[in-house]
Amino acid sequence: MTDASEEHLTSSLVAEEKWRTCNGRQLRKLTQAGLSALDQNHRKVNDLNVFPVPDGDTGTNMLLTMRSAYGRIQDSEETHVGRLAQELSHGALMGARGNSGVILSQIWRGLAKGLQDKDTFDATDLAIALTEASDTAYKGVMRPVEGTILTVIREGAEEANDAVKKSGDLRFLLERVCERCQQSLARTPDLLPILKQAGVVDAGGQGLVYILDGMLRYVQGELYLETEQPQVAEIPAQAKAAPAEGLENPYDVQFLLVGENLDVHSVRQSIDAMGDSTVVVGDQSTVKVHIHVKDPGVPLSFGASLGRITDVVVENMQIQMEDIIGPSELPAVEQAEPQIEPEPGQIGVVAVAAGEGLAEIFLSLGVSGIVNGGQSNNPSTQEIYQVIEQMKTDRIIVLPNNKNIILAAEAAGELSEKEVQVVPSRTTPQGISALLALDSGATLEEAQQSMTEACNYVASGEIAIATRSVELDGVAVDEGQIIGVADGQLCAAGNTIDEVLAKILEEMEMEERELLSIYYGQDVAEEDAIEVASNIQSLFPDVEVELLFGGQGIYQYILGAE
Amino acid sequence: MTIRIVTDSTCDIPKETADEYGIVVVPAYVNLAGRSYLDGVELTRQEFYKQLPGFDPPPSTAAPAPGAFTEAYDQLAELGATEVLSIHVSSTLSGILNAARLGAEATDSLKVTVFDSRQLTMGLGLQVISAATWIAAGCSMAEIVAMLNEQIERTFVIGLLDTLEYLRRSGRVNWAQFGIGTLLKIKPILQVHSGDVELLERVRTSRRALSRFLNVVAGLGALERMALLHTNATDEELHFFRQETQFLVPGGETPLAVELTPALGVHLGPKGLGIACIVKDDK
Repeated sequence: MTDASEEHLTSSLVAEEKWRTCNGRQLRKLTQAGLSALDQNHRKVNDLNVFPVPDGDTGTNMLLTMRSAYGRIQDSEETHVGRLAQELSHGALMGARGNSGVILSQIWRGLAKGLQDKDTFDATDLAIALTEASDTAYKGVMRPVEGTILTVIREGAEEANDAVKKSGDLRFLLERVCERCQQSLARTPDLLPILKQAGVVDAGGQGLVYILDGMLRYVQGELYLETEQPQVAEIPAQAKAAPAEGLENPYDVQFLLVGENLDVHSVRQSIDAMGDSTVVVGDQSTVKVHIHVKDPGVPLSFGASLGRITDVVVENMQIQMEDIIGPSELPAVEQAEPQIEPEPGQIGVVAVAAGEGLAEIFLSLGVSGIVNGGQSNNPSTQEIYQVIEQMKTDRIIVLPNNKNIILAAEAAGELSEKEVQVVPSRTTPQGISALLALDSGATLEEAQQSMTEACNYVASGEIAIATRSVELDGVAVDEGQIIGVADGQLCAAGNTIDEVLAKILEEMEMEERELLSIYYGQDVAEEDAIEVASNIQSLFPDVEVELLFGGQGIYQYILGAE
Repeated sequence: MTIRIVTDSTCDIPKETADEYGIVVVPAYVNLAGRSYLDGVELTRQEFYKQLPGFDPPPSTAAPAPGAFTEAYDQLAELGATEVLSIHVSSTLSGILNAARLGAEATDSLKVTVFDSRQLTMGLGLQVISAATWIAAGCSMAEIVAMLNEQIERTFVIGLLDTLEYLRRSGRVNWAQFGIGTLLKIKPILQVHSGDVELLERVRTSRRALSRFLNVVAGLGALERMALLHTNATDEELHFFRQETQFLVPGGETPLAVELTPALGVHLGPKGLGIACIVKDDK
């Protein structure tokens, strides 16, 4: 990916009067453009939360999904557009995080299916592929909801089919699709009341619009693509919680090559073959080299064979990256409680846990695979997939324990060769309730059914601090207030924990319950948690109250009542 | 030829029943506050359960000495018995059977057949009562042993514990294998069958626990005999338990209800419920 080829490709797109066909290399640039636009805007997407708590971070999830898609093809020289799209689809699927990320990966999947045998695509092909993308996205969710990214992609595809009747110009088609998607996005609050209440448009739809808009601006010559890899510092804050993939080429090597009659073009070709992010510029006497490689000795020896090398800089980016986002391994969970490793043939359970305390509780109840992740750091399909693959057994139940992780868990299950069933647990208490209902002697389907049913045995509550002001579900929230959520509904906002608790427990029908489990978060002091628990106990003397360290972020308290 | 039965205090047969059939019950020991008590003899159930949660250190149990069995066998020989069926709590759960075996080796006053019931509480008790009726009907030892072996396959004890605390302390179950952690409050439904203890369900609330428990018992099939088990239930609670289990009772009779002997209660804790039963032979 050199400056020369970059310029060539851009000008070829912009200069042509009409743009009739798109090949693999051009699709790669379009994807990079879409990624770049989303990268610049993902925080705005994150801010489109319905709930005033960090919620799934749609922008981050979509960005990480797009990065994974593009990462699969960034060094590809594939010109066959069908094969390139296939790679993109695979990359998106592996990196899919959160519901919007999974839906985005399904859009890529449909697109790839629509283009699979195409050497290049024209406007008609793209319109058909977009329809396929829309259909695949709808099938990717159990109950499609209008007023979301689904509506946006569907209407975009409709527009494409309309546009293709008027012109075979791909640029015209892309313009029309972008415009229609933007209109569609603007209407999402009319279709989905909760968006209107919160005064936002759908975040996933917005993410898609940014991607398409980036592609269009690139085609129009308005978006300049950097050839450098994204800087380490650009990795979004939320990615900190996720494990970093080990870098393929961890060493950043720079040097000046001084010699006589140097052939810049052939130096660039040789260097280019050694790694990625190559920059080779200069003249016959001095060439500046920059490259990311596995072995820093290789480009240095090469340089030394042609002349003198000076100003040598070698840096290990893996270490820099780990300083910023932490080592690429999951933090180890202490396993004081009995842990079961199911043998091949037995049912094994994989649970997503939002904190170390919760992980320990899941392990103590027979879970043998933990995926770290929760409210604002949704694990990717690949992270869940890896834990599934690590298990000795090939019959597996997955407990996502968060509404925004269910789709990624399902995608991971489909990806795996193993027999995998997802129990759609939306909260931690639901996951625990489901886990207790596991009958290890049952078939996987039976187990999934009874565990899914067991999710209903428990009422869930969550307490957090509001990150912005909003009025939602008839509750007015000021930024910084304590808010209470009962079974997914915002039900209380107040300045003291006691008033919020009183309301939340009422919603959870505490009078009817026998047992209340309180899981306190990483930001809550144990003394405070004990006080909260004893206050609840005095309010409901007949209820058994148990207090446990959950260690989760965002939610100060997670409550489960049975 | 006169056959008599020796068993141990974990069989939970009421004293009247034992007396009626001339069954000799050898007591286990309960070690409590630095003293050893003869189970069911020196320690009443009411007193024991009332104080159980408060005992520090927690009580423990011990098998009777082999000599206690030898003594029981010799006494029966003196009373004219020619053979003894010595039937005991499952060897997978206790060392009592081994003590009886050693006790039997130490006597030559009569022939002792030591038999592993592979059960506990009334799961053992129902077998003891069956054996006593077969003796009364004139069956030989070989016939009795054959019938017991067949009946064991149909004998179940299903228990619903209020807490895991006592069972964990007992060290008699493999927690890792059970997947019962210690962090959450869980009410386990356990099954003892043919010497194996199995965790059937893990439930969080008493309401669901009872309904799951009844479902499990009903799922075993039609019952031939059954007995109700509990640890320190109040009269009111026992009455309620009787009502709830009435639909399971074979032939509408009133089943025995026994409070578990302290030697078992030590390991199971207060507020436990259970059913011992023999499933009908549908062959």
